[in-house]
Amino acid sequence: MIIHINGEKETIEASLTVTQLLAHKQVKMPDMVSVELNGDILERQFFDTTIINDGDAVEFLYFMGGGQV
Amino acid sequence: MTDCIYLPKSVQDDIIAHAKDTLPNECCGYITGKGNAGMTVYPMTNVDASPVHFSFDPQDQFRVIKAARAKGEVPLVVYHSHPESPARLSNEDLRLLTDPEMVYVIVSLHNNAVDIKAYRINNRNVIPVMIREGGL
Repeated sequence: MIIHINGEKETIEASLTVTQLLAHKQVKMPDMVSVELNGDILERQFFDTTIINDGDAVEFLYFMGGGQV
Repeated sequence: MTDCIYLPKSVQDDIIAHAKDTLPNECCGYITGKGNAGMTVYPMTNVDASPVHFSFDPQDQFRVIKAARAKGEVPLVVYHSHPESPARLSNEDLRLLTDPEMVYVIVSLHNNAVDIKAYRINNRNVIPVMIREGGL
Protein backbone atom coordinates (compact mmCIF):
# COMPACT_ATOMS: atom_id res chain seq x y z
CA MET A 1 0.00 0.00 0.00
CA ILE A 2 1.03 3.60 -0.53
CA ILE A 3 1.25 6.10 2.30
CA HIS A 4 2.80 9.52 2.76
CA ILE A 5 5.48 9.80 5.42
CA ASN A 6 6.71 13.29 6.23
CA GLY A 7 5.51 14.46 2.84
CA GLU A 8 7.15 11.66 0.87
CA LYS A 9 5.21 8.92 -0.88
CA GLU A 10 6.29 5.46 0.25
CA THR A 11 5.20 1.93 -0.48
CA ILE A 12 5.02 -0.48 2.42
CA GLU A 13 4.29 -4.16 2.06
CA ALA A 14 1.95 -4.77 4.96
CA SER A 15 -0.27 -2.96 7.39
CA LEU A 16 1.71 -1.57 10.29
CA THR A 17 0.83 0.05 13.57
CA VAL A 18 2.29 3.47 14.24
CA THR A 19 4.80 1.88 16.62
CA GLN A 20 5.84 -0.59 13.92
CA LEU A 21 6.12 2.20 11.36
CA LEU A 22 8.46 4.19 13.62
CA ALA A 23 10.60 1.06 14.01
CA HIS A 24 10.49 0.50 10.24
CA LYS A 25 11.75 4.06 9.76
CA GLN A 26 14.53 3.36 12.29
CA VAL A 27 13.46 6.15 14.61
CA LYS A 28 16.06 5.91 17.35
CA MET A 29 14.05 7.33 20.24
CA PRO A 30 10.34 6.74 19.52
CA ASP A 31 9.38 7.79 23.04
CA MET A 32 10.44 11.33 22.10
CA VAL A 33 8.45 11.49 18.88
CA SER A 34 5.15 13.24 18.18
CA VAL A 35 2.97 11.74 15.46
CA GLU A 36 0.33 13.34 13.28
CA LEU A 37 -2.00 11.05 11.34
CA ASN A 38 -4.04 12.61 8.54
CA GLY A 39 -3.68 16.05 10.09
CA ASP A 40 -4.50 15.13 13.68
CA ILE A 41 -2.00 14.61 16.46
CA LEU A 42 -2.13 11.03 17.71
CA GLU A 43 -1.87 10.51 21.45
CA ARG A 44 1.05 8.28 22.37
CA GLN A 45 -1.22 5.77 24.10
CA PHE A 46 -2.64 4.86 20.67
CA PHE A 47 0.69 4.28 18.89
CA ASP A 48 0.54 0.52 19.53
CA THR A 49 -3.03 0.05 18.37
CA THR A 50 -3.46 2.48 15.49
CA ILE A 51 -3.10 0.80 12.10
CA ILE A 52 -1.78 2.76 9.14
CA ASN A 53 -4.10 2.41 6.17
CA ASP A 54 -3.56 2.81 2.45
CA GLY A 55 -3.44 6.50 1.52
CA ASP A 56 -2.77 7.73 5.07
CA ALA A 57 -0.51 10.71 5.66
CA VAL A 58 1.81 10.28 8.63
CA GLU A 59 4.08 12.97 9.99
CA PHE A 60 6.47 12.45 12.84
CA LEU A 61 9.02 14.67 14.54
CA TYR A 62 11.01 14.82 17.72
CA PHE A 63 9.65 16.60 20.74
CA MET A 64 11.81 19.65 21.42
CA GLY A 65 12.45 20.90 24.88
CA GLY A 66 15.28 21.77 27.19
CA GLY A 67 16.54 24.51 29.38
CA GLN A 68 19.45 26.12 31.09
CA VAL A 69 19.15 24.18 34.33
CA MET B 1 36.75 17.93 9.77
CA THR B 2 34.57 20.10 12.00
CA ASP B 3 30.90 20.12 11.11
CA CYS B 4 29.62 23.59 10.25
CA ILE B 5 26.35 25.41 9.72
CA TYR B 6 26.00 28.56 7.64
CA LEU B 7 23.85 31.22 9.30
CA PRO B 8 23.58 34.62 7.58
CA LYS B 9 23.99 37.64 9.82
CA SER B 10 20.30 38.44 9.37
CA VAL B 11 19.38 35.01 10.74
CA GLN B 12 21.72 35.42 13.70
CA ASP B 13 20.34 38.91 14.33
CA ASP B 14 16.77 37.54 14.25
CA ILE B 15 17.39 34.85 16.86
CA ILE B 16 19.30 37.28 19.10
CA ALA B 17 16.38 39.71 18.85
CA HIS B 18 13.97 36.88 19.68
CA ALA B 19 16.05 35.97 22.74
CA LYS B 20 16.06 39.58 23.96
CA ASP B 21 12.36 40.11 23.22
CA THR B 22 11.44 37.02 25.21
CA LEU B 23 13.34 37.97 28.37
CA PRO B 24 13.12 37.03 31.16
CA ASN B 25 11.97 33.74 29.61
CA GLU B 26 13.78 31.41 27.27
CA CYS B 27 12.92 31.72 23.59
CA CYS B 28 12.92 28.87 21.09
CA GLY B 29 12.43 28.24 17.41
CA TYR B 30 13.47 26.55 14.21
CA ILE B 31 15.85 27.66 11.48
CA THR B 32 15.08 25.97 8.18
CA GLY B 33 17.13 25.90 5.05
CA LYS B 34 18.89 23.76 2.48
CA GLY B 35 22.02 21.66 2.80
CA ASN B 36 23.84 23.18 5.75
CA ALA B 37 22.67 26.74 5.08
CA GLY B 38 20.09 28.19 7.43
CA MET B 39 17.72 30.53 5.62
CA THR B 40 14.45 31.10 7.45
CA VAL B 41 13.80 31.72 11.15
CA TYR B 42 10.56 30.41 12.63
CA PRO B 43 10.17 31.77 16.17
CA MET B 44 8.11 29.33 18.22
CA THR B 45 6.06 29.83 21.34
CA ASN B 46 7.76 28.51 24.45
CA VAL B 47 4.76 26.78 25.98
CA ASP B 48 6.62 26.57 29.31
CA ALA B 49 6.91 30.39 29.41
CA SER B 50 9.85 29.90 31.76
CA PRO B 51 13.23 31.60 32.33
CA VAL B 52 14.89 28.19 32.73
CA HIS B 53 13.02 25.83 30.40
CA PHE B 54 11.43 25.60 26.99
CA SER B 55 9.12 23.24 25.15
CA PHE B 56 7.77 23.44 21.63
CA ASP B 57 4.08 22.99 20.96
CA PRO B 58 3.92 19.84 18.76
CA GLN B 59 1.02 21.24 16.75
CA ASP B 60 3.10 24.33 16.01
CA GLN B 61 6.06 22.10 15.10
CA PHE B 62 4.03 20.26 12.48
CA ARG B 63 2.77 23.58 11.08
CA VAL B 64 6.31 24.93 10.69
CA ILE B 65 7.68 21.74 9.17
CA LYS B 66 4.97 21.80 6.52
CA ALA B 67 5.48 25.52 5.82
CA ALA B 68 9.21 24.93 5.39
CA ARG B 69 8.59 21.94 3.16
CA ALA B 70 6.34 24.07 0.93
CA LYS B 71 9.36 26.37 0.41
CA GLY B 72 11.67 23.47 -0.34
CA GLU B 73 13.41 23.85 3.01
CA VAL B 74 13.94 21.46 5.90
CA PRO B 75 14.50 22.13 9.58
CA LEU B 76 18.24 22.35 10.19
CA VAL B 77 18.46 24.08 13.56
CA VAL B 78 16.53 24.17 16.81
CA TYR B 79 17.55 27.26 18.73
CA HIS B 80 16.80 28.37 22.24
CA SER B 81 18.15 30.95 24.63
CA HIS B 82 19.89 30.76 27.97
CA PRO B 83 19.09 34.10 29.58
CA GLU B 84 21.29 33.57 32.62
CA SER B 85 23.80 30.87 31.72
CA PRO B 86 26.51 30.23 29.13
CA ALA B 87 25.89 28.92 25.61
CA ARG B 88 26.51 25.30 26.46
CA LEU B 89 24.12 22.38 26.54
CA SER B 90 22.66 21.73 29.95
CA ASN B 91 21.85 18.31 31.37
CA GLU B 92 18.20 19.06 30.64
CA ASP B 93 19.08 19.84 27.01
CA LEU B 94 20.93 16.53 26.74
CA ARG B 95 17.98 14.69 28.26
CA LEU B 96 15.37 16.16 25.96
CA LEU B 97 17.11 17.12 22.71
CA THR B 98 17.38 13.78 20.98
CA ASP B 99 17.21 14.31 17.23
CA PRO B 100 20.66 13.37 15.89
CA GLU B 101 19.95 15.09 12.57
CA MET B 102 19.41 18.51 14.13
CA VAL B 103 21.89 21.27 14.93
CA TYR B 104 21.15 22.84 18.30
CA VAL B 105 21.97 26.53 18.63
CA ILE B 106 22.04 28.27 21.99
CA VAL B 107 21.87 32.04 22.32
CA SER B 108 23.31 33.05 25.67
CA LEU B 109 22.59 36.46 27.16
CA HIS B 110 24.60 35.65 30.26
CA ASN B 111 26.16 38.71 31.95
CA ASN B 112 24.57 41.02 29.37
CA ALA B 113 26.79 39.59 26.63
CA VAL B 114 25.58 37.77 23.53
CA ASP B 115 27.17 34.43 22.70
CA ILE B 116 25.94 31.92 20.13
CA LYS B 117 27.18 28.35 19.90
CA ALA B 118 26.02 25.30 17.96
CA TYR B 119 26.13 21.58 18.66
CA ARG B 120 24.91 18.23 17.52
CA ILE B 121 23.85 15.58 19.99
CA ASN B 122 24.21 11.91 19.21
CA ASN B 123 23.44 9.42 21.97
CA ARG B 124 24.05 12.20 24.49
CA ASN B 125 27.46 12.87 22.99
CA VAL B 126 27.96 16.56 22.29
CA ILE B 127 29.66 17.51 19.03
CA PRO B 128 30.52 21.20 18.55
CA VAL B 129 29.39 22.69 15.24
CA MET B 130 31.10 25.74 13.77
CA ILE B 131 28.82 28.65 12.87
CA ARG B 132 29.83 30.44 9.71
CA GLU B 133 28.27 33.67 8.60
CA GLY B 134 26.98 33.13 5.12
CA GLY B 135 24.59 31.08 3.09
CA LEU B 136 23.77 29.72 -0.31
